[in-house]
Amino acid sequence: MTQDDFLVLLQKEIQRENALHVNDLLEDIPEWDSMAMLVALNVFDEIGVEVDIDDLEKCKSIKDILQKAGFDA
Amino acid sequence: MTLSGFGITLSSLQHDQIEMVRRWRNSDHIKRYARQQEPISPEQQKAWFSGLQAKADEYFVIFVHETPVGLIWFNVKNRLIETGFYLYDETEQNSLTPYKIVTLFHEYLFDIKQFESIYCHILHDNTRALRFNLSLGYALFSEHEQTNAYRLTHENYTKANAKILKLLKRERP
Repeated sequence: MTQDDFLVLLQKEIQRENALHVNDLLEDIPEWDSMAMLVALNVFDEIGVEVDIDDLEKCKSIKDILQKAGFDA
Repeated sequence: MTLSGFGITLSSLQHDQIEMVRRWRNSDHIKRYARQQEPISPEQQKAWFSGLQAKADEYFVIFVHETPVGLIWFNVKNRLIETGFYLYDETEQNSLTPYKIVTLFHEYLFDIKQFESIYCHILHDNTRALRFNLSLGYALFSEHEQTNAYRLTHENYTKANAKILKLLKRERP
Protein backbone atom coordinates (compact mmCIF):
# COMPACT_ATOMS: atom_id res chain seq x y z
CA MET A 1 0.00 0.00 0.00
CA THR A 2 1.34 3.44 -0.85
CA GLN A 3 1.23 6.44 1.44
CA ASP A 4 -1.43 8.01 -0.78
CA ASP A 5 -3.53 4.82 -0.65
CA PHE A 6 -3.30 4.89 3.15
CA LEU A 7 -4.42 8.52 3.28
CA VAL A 8 -7.37 7.84 0.97
CA LEU A 9 -8.39 4.83 3.05
CA LEU A 10 -8.12 6.78 6.28
CA GLN A 11 -10.08 9.70 4.80
CA LYS A 12 -12.87 7.32 3.78
CA GLU A 13 -12.93 5.50 7.11
CA ILE A 14 -13.19 8.68 9.19
CA GLN A 15 -15.99 9.84 6.83
CA ARG A 16 -14.22 12.97 5.72
CA GLU A 17 -15.07 14.66 2.42
CA ASN A 18 -11.77 16.53 1.96
CA ALA A 19 -8.44 14.86 1.37
CA LEU A 20 -5.97 14.39 4.21
CA HIS A 21 -2.51 15.90 3.80
CA VAL A 22 0.78 15.04 5.43
CA ASN A 23 1.10 18.33 7.27
CA ASP A 24 -2.49 18.42 8.61
CA LEU A 25 -2.69 18.76 12.39
CA LEU A 26 -5.20 16.41 13.99
CA GLU A 27 -6.65 19.23 16.07
CA ASP A 28 -7.56 21.03 12.84
CA ILE A 29 -9.44 18.06 11.39
CA PRO A 30 -13.10 18.26 12.56
CA GLU A 31 -13.59 14.54 11.88
CA TRP A 32 -10.66 13.58 14.14
CA ASP A 33 -12.66 12.50 17.14
CA SER A 34 -12.69 9.32 19.23
CA MET A 35 -14.39 7.44 16.41
CA ALA A 36 -11.59 8.45 14.05
CA MET A 37 -9.07 7.10 16.57
CA LEU A 38 -10.87 3.77 16.63
CA VAL A 39 -11.12 3.52 12.85
CA ALA A 40 -7.43 4.48 12.57
CA LEU A 41 -6.67 1.49 14.79
CA ASN A 42 -8.81 -0.63 12.49
CA VAL A 43 -6.93 0.64 9.43
CA PHE A 44 -3.63 -0.26 11.07
CA ASP A 45 -5.10 -3.68 11.80
CA GLU A 46 -6.17 -4.09 8.16
CA ILE A 47 -2.72 -3.26 6.80
CA GLY A 48 -1.06 -5.54 9.31
CA VAL A 49 0.72 -2.88 11.35
CA GLU A 50 0.89 -3.23 15.12
CA VAL A 51 0.51 0.08 16.88
CA ASP A 52 0.48 0.81 20.58
CA ILE A 53 -2.67 2.69 21.63
CA ASP A 54 -0.69 5.06 23.82
CA ASP A 55 1.61 5.88 20.88
CA LEU A 56 -1.37 6.52 18.61
CA GLU A 57 -2.93 8.84 21.18
CA LYS A 58 0.28 10.88 21.26
CA CYS A 59 0.08 11.62 17.51
CA LYS A 60 -0.50 15.29 16.74
CA SER A 61 -0.47 15.25 12.95
CA ILE A 62 -1.21 13.11 9.90
CA LYS A 63 2.59 12.91 9.47
CA ASP A 64 2.81 11.24 12.92
CA ILE A 65 0.07 8.78 11.92
CA LEU A 66 1.88 7.95 8.67
CA GLN A 67 5.13 7.34 10.49
CA LYS A 68 3.36 5.00 12.91
CA ALA A 69 2.05 3.14 9.84
CA GLY A 70 5.62 2.72 8.67
CA PHE A 71 5.69 5.36 5.94
CA ASP A 72 8.64 7.64 5.47
CA ALA A 73 6.53 10.82 5.75
CA MET B 1 -19.91 0.13 43.47
CA THR B 2 -16.79 0.30 41.32
CA LEU B 3 -16.13 -0.91 37.77
CA SER B 4 -12.54 -0.91 36.52
CA GLY B 5 -10.57 -1.62 33.36
CA PHE B 6 -8.30 0.04 30.74
CA GLY B 7 -7.01 2.47 33.38
CA ILE B 8 -10.60 3.70 33.85
CA THR B 9 -12.66 3.48 37.03
CA LEU B 10 -16.38 4.08 37.24
CA SER B 11 -17.33 4.75 40.85
CA SER B 12 -20.83 5.25 42.26
CA LEU B 13 -21.59 8.93 42.77
CA GLN B 14 -21.11 10.04 46.38
CA HIS B 15 -22.63 13.01 48.22
CA ASP B 16 -19.30 14.84 48.48
CA GLN B 17 -19.01 14.77 44.66
CA ILE B 18 -22.36 16.34 43.79
CA GLU B 19 -21.10 19.93 43.81
CA MET B 20 -18.25 18.99 41.45
CA VAL B 21 -20.78 17.27 39.16
CA ARG B 22 -23.10 20.32 39.32
CA ARG B 23 -20.23 22.59 38.21
CA TRP B 24 -19.43 20.22 35.38
CA ARG B 25 -23.06 20.03 34.30
CA ASN B 26 -23.43 23.83 34.31
CA SER B 27 -20.31 24.42 32.22
CA ASP B 28 -20.94 25.77 28.73
CA HIS B 29 -19.44 22.85 26.79
CA ILE B 30 -21.54 20.31 28.73
CA LYS B 31 -24.92 22.01 28.97
CA ARG B 32 -24.62 22.95 25.28
CA TYR B 33 -25.61 19.36 24.46
CA ALA B 34 -28.00 18.71 27.34
CA ARG B 35 -31.76 18.69 27.00
CA GLN B 36 -32.09 21.01 30.00
CA GLN B 37 -30.18 24.20 29.27
CA GLU B 38 -30.99 26.14 32.46
CA PRO B 39 -28.24 26.10 35.11
CA ILE B 40 -28.83 23.76 38.03
CA SER B 41 -28.76 25.39 41.47
CA PRO B 42 -27.06 23.79 44.52
CA GLU B 43 -30.50 23.22 46.06
CA GLN B 44 -31.78 21.47 42.93
CA GLN B 45 -28.64 19.33 42.88
CA LYS B 46 -29.07 18.30 46.51
CA ALA B 47 -32.73 17.46 45.95
CA TRP B 48 -31.82 15.42 42.85
CA PHE B 49 -29.16 13.47 44.75
CA SER B 50 -31.55 12.78 47.63
CA GLY B 51 -33.89 11.19 45.12
CA LEU B 52 -31.09 8.88 43.97
CA GLN B 53 -30.42 7.31 47.33
CA ALA B 54 -32.30 4.17 46.44
CA LYS B 55 -30.50 3.90 43.09
CA ALA B 56 -26.87 3.98 44.10
CA ASP B 57 -25.77 1.90 41.13
CA GLU B 58 -27.11 4.23 38.44
CA TYR B 59 -24.75 7.22 38.43
CA PHE B 60 -20.99 6.84 38.22
CA VAL B 61 -18.13 9.32 38.30
CA ILE B 62 -15.55 8.49 35.64
CA PHE B 63 -11.92 8.41 36.76
CA VAL B 64 -9.01 8.24 34.36
CA HIS B 65 -5.93 7.22 36.30
CA GLU B 66 -7.56 8.45 39.51
CA THR B 67 -8.55 11.87 38.10
CA PRO B 68 -12.33 12.53 37.91
CA VAL B 69 -13.15 13.49 34.32
CA GLY B 70 -16.89 12.98 33.80
CA LEU B 71 -20.14 11.28 34.64
CA ILE B 72 -21.92 8.25 33.17
CA TRP B 73 -25.36 6.98 34.10
CA PHE B 74 -28.43 4.99 33.31
CA ASN B 75 -31.95 5.35 34.60
CA VAL B 76 -35.26 3.70 34.02
CA LYS B 77 -37.96 5.87 32.42
CA ASN B 78 -41.23 4.34 31.34
CA ARG B 79 -39.59 0.92 31.61
CA LEU B 80 -36.87 1.95 29.15
CA ILE B 81 -33.20 2.04 30.14
CA GLU B 82 -31.89 5.50 29.24
CA THR B 83 -28.16 6.14 29.33
CA GLY B 84 -25.90 9.11 28.98
CA PHE B 85 -22.44 10.36 29.72
CA TYR B 86 -20.27 13.41 29.38
CA LEU B 87 -16.60 14.14 29.72
CA TYR B 88 -15.89 17.41 31.47
CA ASP B 89 -12.21 17.04 30.59
CA GLU B 90 -12.20 18.03 26.91
CA THR B 91 -8.68 16.71 26.32
CA GLU B 92 -10.07 13.17 26.61
CA GLN B 93 -12.84 13.64 24.06
CA ASN B 94 -10.81 12.86 20.94
CA SER B 95 -8.88 9.98 22.44
CA LEU B 96 -9.92 6.36 22.87
CA THR B 97 -11.01 7.10 26.44
CA PRO B 98 -14.72 7.39 25.51
CA TYR B 99 -14.60 3.87 24.07
CA LYS B 100 -12.88 2.52 27.13
CA ILE B 101 -15.52 4.13 29.36
CA VAL B 102 -18.55 2.87 27.49
CA THR B 103 -17.04 -0.59 26.97
CA LEU B 104 -16.81 -0.96 30.75
CA PHE B 105 -20.28 0.49 31.26
CA HIS B 106 -21.99 -1.54 28.56
CA GLU B 107 -20.50 -4.74 29.94
CA TYR B 108 -22.11 -3.77 33.26
CA LEU B 109 -25.49 -3.00 31.67
CA PHE B 110 -25.70 -5.97 29.31
CA ASP B 111 -23.64 -8.69 30.99
CA ILE B 112 -24.27 -7.96 34.68
CA LYS B 113 -27.61 -6.12 34.78
CA GLN B 114 -28.77 -8.27 31.83
CA PHE B 115 -30.66 -5.49 30.08
CA GLU B 116 -32.03 -6.41 26.65
CA SER B 117 -31.76 -2.91 25.15
CA ILE B 118 -30.60 0.52 26.19
CA TYR B 119 -31.42 3.94 24.78
CA CYS B 120 -29.88 7.35 24.48
CA HIS B 121 -31.09 10.73 23.28
CA ILE B 122 -28.91 12.89 21.06
CA LEU B 123 -29.48 16.52 20.08
CA HIS B 124 -29.77 16.92 16.32
CA ASP B 125 -26.60 19.00 16.00
CA ASN B 126 -24.42 16.79 18.22
CA THR B 127 -22.65 15.09 15.32
CA ARG B 128 -19.75 13.91 17.48
CA ALA B 129 -22.09 12.00 19.80
CA LEU B 130 -24.05 10.64 16.86
CA ARG B 131 -20.93 9.26 15.15
CA PHE B 132 -19.72 7.79 18.41
CA ASN B 133 -22.98 6.09 19.33
CA LEU B 134 -23.59 4.73 15.84
CA SER B 135 -20.12 3.13 16.01
CA LEU B 136 -21.21 1.42 19.25
CA GLY B 137 -24.10 -0.23 17.43
CA TYR B 138 -26.90 2.19 18.34
CA ALA B 139 -29.60 2.64 15.68
CA LEU B 140 -32.28 5.31 15.26
CA PHE B 141 -35.34 4.41 17.32
CA SER B 142 -37.60 7.46 17.20
CA GLU B 143 -37.44 11.07 16.02
CA HIS B 144 -38.44 14.07 18.10
CA GLU B 145 -38.26 17.83 17.85
CA GLN B 146 -35.06 18.48 19.83
CA THR B 147 -33.48 15.05 20.02
CA ASN B 148 -33.70 11.65 18.41
CA ALA B 149 -33.75 8.46 20.45
CA TYR B 150 -31.33 5.69 19.59
CA ARG B 151 -31.47 2.09 20.75
CA LEU B 152 -28.69 -0.41 21.33
CA THR B 153 -29.90 -3.99 21.41
CA HIS B 154 -28.01 -6.79 23.09
CA GLU B 155 -27.32 -8.32 19.68
CA ASN B 156 -25.83 -5.14 18.21
CA TYR B 157 -23.88 -4.48 21.41
CA THR B 158 -22.31 -7.94 21.15
CA LYS B 159 -21.25 -7.42 17.51
CA ALA B 160 -19.87 -3.91 17.98
CA ASN B 161 -18.23 -4.71 21.31
CA ALA B 162 -16.33 -7.66 19.85
CA LYS B 163 -14.73 -5.36 17.26
CA ILE B 164 -14.00 -2.65 19.81
CA LEU B 165 -12.48 -5.04 22.31
CA LYS B 166 -10.28 -6.53 19.62
CA LEU B 167 -8.99 -3.08 18.79
CA LEU B 168 -8.50 -2.11 22.43
CA LYS B 169 -6.59 -5.40 22.80
CA ARG B 170 -8.35 -6.60 25.85
CA GLU B 171 -9.43 -10.15 26.53
CA ARG B 172 -12.93 -10.59 27.88
CA PRO B 173 -12.76 -12.12 31.36
